[in-house]
Amino acid sequence: MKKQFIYNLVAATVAILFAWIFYYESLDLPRVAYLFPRRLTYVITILAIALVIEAYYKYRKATLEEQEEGIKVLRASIFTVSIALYVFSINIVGYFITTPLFIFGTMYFLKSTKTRNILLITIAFTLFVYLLFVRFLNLPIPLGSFS
Amino acid sequence: MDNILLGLTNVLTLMNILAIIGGTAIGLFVGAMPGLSATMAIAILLPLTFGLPPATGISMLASLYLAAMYGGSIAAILIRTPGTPAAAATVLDGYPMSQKGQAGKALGFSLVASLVGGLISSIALLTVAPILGGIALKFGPVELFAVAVLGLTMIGSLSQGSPIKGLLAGVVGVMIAMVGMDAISGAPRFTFGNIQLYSGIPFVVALIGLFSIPQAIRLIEKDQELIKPGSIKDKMLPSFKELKSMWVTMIRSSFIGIFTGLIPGTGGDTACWFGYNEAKRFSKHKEKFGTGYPEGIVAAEAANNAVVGGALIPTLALGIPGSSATAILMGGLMVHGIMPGPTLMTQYADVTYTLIWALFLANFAMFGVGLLFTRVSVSVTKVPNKVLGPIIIILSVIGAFSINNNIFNVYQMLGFGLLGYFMDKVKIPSAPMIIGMILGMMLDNSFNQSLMMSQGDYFVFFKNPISATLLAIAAFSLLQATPLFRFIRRKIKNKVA
Repeated sequence: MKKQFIYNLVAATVAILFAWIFYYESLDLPRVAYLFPRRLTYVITILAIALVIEAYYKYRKATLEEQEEGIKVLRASIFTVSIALYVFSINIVGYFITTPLFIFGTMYFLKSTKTRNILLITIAFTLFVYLLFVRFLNLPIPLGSFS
Repeated sequence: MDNILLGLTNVLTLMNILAIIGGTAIGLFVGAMPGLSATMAIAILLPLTFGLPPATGISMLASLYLAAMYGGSIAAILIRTPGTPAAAATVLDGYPMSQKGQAGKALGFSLVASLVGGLISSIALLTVAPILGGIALKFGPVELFAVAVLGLTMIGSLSQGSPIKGLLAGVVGVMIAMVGMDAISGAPRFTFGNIQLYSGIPFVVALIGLFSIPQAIRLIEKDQELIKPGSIKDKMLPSFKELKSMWVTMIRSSFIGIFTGLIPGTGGDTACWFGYNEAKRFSKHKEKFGTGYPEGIVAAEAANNAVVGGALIPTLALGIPGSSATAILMGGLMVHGIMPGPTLMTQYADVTYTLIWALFLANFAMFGVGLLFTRVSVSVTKVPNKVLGPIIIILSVIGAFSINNNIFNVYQMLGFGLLGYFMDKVKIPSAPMIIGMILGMMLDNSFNQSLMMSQGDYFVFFKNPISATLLAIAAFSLLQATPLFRFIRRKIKNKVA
């Protein structure tokens, strides 16, 4: 429960910061452009304070620590970092190089299935994306420096 | 009437019929996978529609949404895990039936109930939406502001868990919608000098991030217990005699589903329990519920499929999405340059009525596809979550990029994804944020226009009887979520006792 309280506290702080950064940005705007957003910043601040009060009230009332069971924090963190790396390397290396690397790398790390199956999924899915999005739907795909 | 016929003529083209059948087939398989929700599937498959005409693309997504509701029952019945949250109540009687060797029959009841619920809600959509749309066309900025406020407060206050969190997410969503050029003054707002933000934050990018990235991470963060799905050995279609005693339950659940869908912020997950509980309450055999009683399946499945048409009524008539899935459908319209709001029923009548008819026909497609492919779809319930996670990421990236052919949108999608994951940990719902983003511009424009008309008098919103009533309902929906209301209710109860 303490963890949830801290999470709520962080969320409320982020919300207030977000509101007041927007408020500061609105100082140079004409009246018609700032009128509504400024009122929103007040509402966000009030709701964020209410969130902290509610979280504190629940924290005081709760007796047992509520725990989410079986979460593999390290695994989830590495997966999240790999998503970020994948997204930021697309523009440099290109979608069709980073994508198979990402599929194979993450599935191998997650031990999703047998290595042979991972290889098959990697090839099949990359090919599927290419045929569906590029050939059939003519959607633009970032090709990076190899374009 | 002309528009209704126009929609019917439009939908009966080969391309649209193929899109409806394709959408229902994808929906069936997606719904059957416990790792994928209908909402997320629509979000990541949205790019598939970019290359199609607007009516065809949106019809495909609506069909997918409808079929996913039935698809969710496949995993619920066979592996005791609802394929979508809307099938949670189906588990109670579906799984015991499957254990008794009646998996086919259980799925057959689910399919028929889904068809009935879907058809009744499609008829409701076809009849109610034009009437409501006609009324909404007479609304000026004052009434539109009140409608948007009501939508937002209801979504926020009816969110599961804390209403404060729902409202906070909604208002932050409205604030995010303020980024970009101001529609009235033309001044760039909250762009922080970044030229990429001048056109605002595309809300489809935000919703792909908010719905897919957190789900992908959630799928891999826990070890999955693999349950071997039961096999379907018996006949699927129930006989007329078997269905005869269940018509009342099916019709009651269908209306429950429509009304649940109509209320912004509530969806299939609420409707299935509501339908199930009411069926149990009215039943002469209450003790049989939860033991593999077909009426339990029928009650839940008719209700969750009826939500689809119900949720589309406020979406199409007022421009206020009834659920997160319809919010994404609305996003699909916006990608094609169709702006949500009361004009959907007039200015874009061809697309809107095609969509309504497509949903009607999708029920029959779902029934056919369900009969043919339910047995095949059992195999997708075995796809491990650790395979689905990376694939969701790949599709999300391609989806975000293809909206504007801009890598900046992919970065934004990732940002929203990480925000969504954090919100998930704090138990802040993401659906109100998306709906806030949709309603943001409508709120801002109507607020400013109303004040201009009234020369700055804020009481303009209370002098107009329609807006005053709507704002009073909004205030009530806010108050009923506060501890003060619970305190008053308890006091009254004690006094009466």
